[in-house]
Parts: sequence; C-alpha cells; structure tokens
Amino acid sequence: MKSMARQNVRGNNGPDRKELPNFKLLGALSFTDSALVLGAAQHILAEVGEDYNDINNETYRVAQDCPLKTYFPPTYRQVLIQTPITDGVAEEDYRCIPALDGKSRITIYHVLKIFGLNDFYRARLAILPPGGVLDWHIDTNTSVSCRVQIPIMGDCIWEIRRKKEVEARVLTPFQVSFTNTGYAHRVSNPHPTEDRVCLTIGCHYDAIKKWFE
Amino acid sequence: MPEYKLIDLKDENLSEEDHEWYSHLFLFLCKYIQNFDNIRNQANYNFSGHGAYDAFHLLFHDGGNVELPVAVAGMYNSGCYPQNTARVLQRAYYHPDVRHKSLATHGGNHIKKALLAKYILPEQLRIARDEFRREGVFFSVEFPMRRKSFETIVGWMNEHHTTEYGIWEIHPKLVNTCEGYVHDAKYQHVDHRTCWQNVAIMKFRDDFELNLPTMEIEEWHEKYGTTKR
Repeated sequence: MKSMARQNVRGNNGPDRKELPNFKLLGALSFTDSALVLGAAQHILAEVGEDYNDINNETYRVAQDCPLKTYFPPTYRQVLIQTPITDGVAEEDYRCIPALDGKSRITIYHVLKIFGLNDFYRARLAILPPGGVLDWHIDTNTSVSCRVQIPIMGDCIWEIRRKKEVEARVLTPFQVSFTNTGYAHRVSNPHPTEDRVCLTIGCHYDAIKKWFE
Repeated sequence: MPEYKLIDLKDENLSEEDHEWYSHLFLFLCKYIQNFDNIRNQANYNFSGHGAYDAFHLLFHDGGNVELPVAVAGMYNSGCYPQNTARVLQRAYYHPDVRHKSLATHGGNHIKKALLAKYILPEQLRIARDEFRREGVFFSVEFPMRRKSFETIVGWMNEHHTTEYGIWEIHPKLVNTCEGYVHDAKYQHVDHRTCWQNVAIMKFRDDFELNLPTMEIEEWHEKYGTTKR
C-alpha cells in the first residue's frame, strides 16, 4: 500500500498537479452520442444488476491491493467498462473490453474515441447513491494519471481543495471535464432519492493535452 | 497475415441484431472519418444510410472486439445508371492503419491495397452478376491527373487478382458517374469537374456497353484546368 502511494505521487506521464487547473471543461458529447452512452450505460447497469460492484470483484485488482471499501460509502459502486489486460494493478493495464455485454461497452469506447480521447484506460461507471458523498481523497498526481468525468445520469457536485481553498463545480450530464484529482477532492450526490452515474476515465495528460493548448 | 471478416449490410441473412450492430460501427467509422481523417473526400462519408445500395461491405480484422472496419465499399445502381450496370467499390475507404499512401502500388507491396481487391470486390462482382443480373460493372477514380496511377492499379488487379468474372478495361474517355436529375422533362447529368472520372469496366456479357455520358480528357482540362479539388 505504501509503495503504491509512492508511485502515485510523481510520474513522467504529464505535468505536475500544480501546473493544471482544478477543472477544465473539455467539451460536451453530441446529442446522438449522449443518447448512445446513456442507452449503453443503462444496458450495462441492467445487465449486471443493482448489487453488482467491481470494487468487491476479484477482477478489480486495485481493490485487492488497496482497502478501497474502507474509503468509499458502502453503497457506492463502480462498474468497469475496461478490464485489465494483465495481472498488474496499474491503472494503465485496464484496457480490455470484456466479452460480457461487450457491445454496450464498445459503444462507450467508440463514443469516447470520437469525442477525441485517443487513449484512455479504466473507464468505469461510478454510481453514487442518493445523498452519498465520496469524502475528501487524492487519487494520483496528474504526472501519473489524469481523470476525465462525464456525468451521464444527473448532476454531481465536485469540490477540489488546493492550499485550503475549495473550488466547487456542478458537473452536468454529458459535459466532459478534466478534474484535477491530484488534489484532495470530494464528490457528492445531493439528490434525496436518485443515484448519480458518472463515466470516469483514466488517461495520461497527452490524451487531453490538446484541450489545454 | 491477419484474417478478415466481411459483412454485407444489405445481406438479408444478416440477423436484425447484427445488422443494427454493424450499422452502428459503420456510423462510428463515418464519425471518425469526419472528425479525424483528413482525406480529400471526407464529406462523402457524411451519410447515415446505405439504403440505396445493392450491397455495402465492411471488412473487419477478425479477432479483437473493439475495432472499426478497416475497409468499406458499396455497390449500387440506385436508378441513376442503366439497369444492366452496377458501380462497385463506391465510397471505398481504407482506415489509416491499412492505407497505402499512394493510389498506385509500389515495389510489390500489394498487401494493403489488396484488401478491396481480394476480399470485397469478388463478393460485389458475384452479387452484381448472379443476384442482380447486371451485365457489367465499373469502378472509378476522380481526376485525370490520377490516371497513370489508375492505369497502374487496374493493370495490377488484372495481373494479381483475376476473377472468374472477367478482366478490367479502362474507358478511353472520362465518364460522368454522378447521379442525374430531371429538368424540363429530360434526364440531365450533373456537370461538375469531379463527376467526370477515370473508369474501369468489367463486362459480364461481350455486348455490354457502359451507357453514360463521356468527355475527352483534353476537353476536361480545357474546361477545368488542372485543379485537384
């Protein structure tokens, strides 16, 4: 766990977190692509069932090496769009589309490609329950890995804390945003009865660099 | 040598589910071309349907499950050509992964260029002759400036990819391949510089003639100069 934390502090895959903004709107999915992603996500979620959670799944190698369940609210779920190509635990290894319900996953894969993300990994559906909060945490420095968020069912409230100042944003469906998860961040679903589903994607800075230039 | 899988979107035996899925992948390819592939005729792929085609083929790498088609091409008559004629390799496209930079082939490196000739064309010839009872087919390339490359590729196809259906002959003039329109009760052809194309013909019957308007190459140059676009 300690060695993993160390790996997440500094890498050679992009600029340091200090060099990037908290949020950057990269664009929005087109109407038809939004409909495709929504349909595909609904299909995947219906297919796996409401108790399915890759955080508890043995295929989720990250979860085996980190006690993720202790950090997340008990009803927070993730459903992987991409699964690992090797036995490694690095995020970059999550590039396969599993055969199960592959067509919906391939649809999401191609929509992301057509949006302009030419290389990405560990795309997953993150499902935050009503009133749920993913409490303050840091993922990785942006020099290791960056995160792109696309809410697809409802708004999510994102807060990023940098030097004790908190910047909050409401991320709305089908907008594609870079979030600087190298800083402590908190995500919440303010809705009292509905889940919030967000497509979360890992990538190196190179894949999103064009939106910062 | 990778294996390939050929899908005809107009194949009646394709299940509804497969048809929907492969149409879906084809649309993704069209979006890819429009967004990222800076090819001359990018705008040609801004089409959502393949309804008017007699056949529309998608060639996939067989294996892996996220690839878009590596080559596509349609075959059609669509009522704009004489009933006995079909146009093959229409909207032909190679994905950049398998695309040869030159229209002509060089140094015997035919593998990439062979995808259409080896996998898609024989099937389109079969469908044209045996299913639609066409008496001849043609394929074409824009612009007289590309005629030398066109001659090279037709020669190469006759040499390396002969089929039971016949051989290719290049029409000595440019042929108007555009869809026509009716004006003053007369059928007119669109007179645009890109409509007059280099055409190769394959006859399924000896008496087949391609009955479309023609123009001398010199006349084209006089009218349009040397523009490539």
